[in-house]
Amino acid sequence: MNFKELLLAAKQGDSKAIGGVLELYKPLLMKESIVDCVFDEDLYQELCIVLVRCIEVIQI
Amino acid sequence: MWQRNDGKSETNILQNQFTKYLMTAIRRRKAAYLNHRGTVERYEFSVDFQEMGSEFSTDPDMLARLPLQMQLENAALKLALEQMKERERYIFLTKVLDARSFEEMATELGMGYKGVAAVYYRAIEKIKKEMRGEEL
Repeated sequence: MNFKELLLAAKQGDSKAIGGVLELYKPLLMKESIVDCVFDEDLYQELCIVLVRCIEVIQI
Repeated sequence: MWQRNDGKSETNILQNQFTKYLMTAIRRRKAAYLNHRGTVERYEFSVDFQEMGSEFSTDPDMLARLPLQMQLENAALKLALEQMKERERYIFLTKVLDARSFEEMATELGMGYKGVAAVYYRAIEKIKKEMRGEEL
C-alpha cells in the first residue's frame, strides 16, 4: 500500500489507515512536541489531533 | 520498507504536499499552545510551599509572635481569639494551623485525648458564637 492509498483510506475513516499515518508521522510529532528539551505530552496529544484533523480536511 | 522520497512519483508528491500541509498546521497549533501556556504561567501563582521558605511555616512559638493576630482580617475572629484562654487558643491554633493530631497535643500538654478534643470543640463553638454575634 503506498502513501496515496493509505491517505485515501484514512480519509474514508478507516481507523487502521489513520493509525498507519499516525505511525508514519510519529517521529515528526514527537520532535515537534519537545519544548525546551522536555517532551510535552499535552502538546504531543494536541499535535496528534491536528494530524487526524489534517487527514480529514486535506483535499487530494 | 523505508525509502527515500525523491518527490517524483505521484504518491511521493502527494506525501510531500501532505507533510507540508501538516507542518503548517502543527506550527500554528504549537504556537497557539505555547502562547496559551505562557499566559497561564504568567497569571498562575506558584504554589510551591518549599520555595516560600520559613516565612509562612507555622512554628510552635508562633503565639509568642503576635503579629498573626494583627493579620486577621475578620474582627470578630480576632476578638474571639483574644477572649479565649491561653490554652484554648494554643490548642485551637495548633490544630488548625499546624494540623497536629489530638494525641500529640495530649501528650505534649499532659492532658487526655478527650480533654484536648473537648477544649478544641469548645473553642470552635466560642468562635462561632462570637462571629454569629457580630453578624446579627
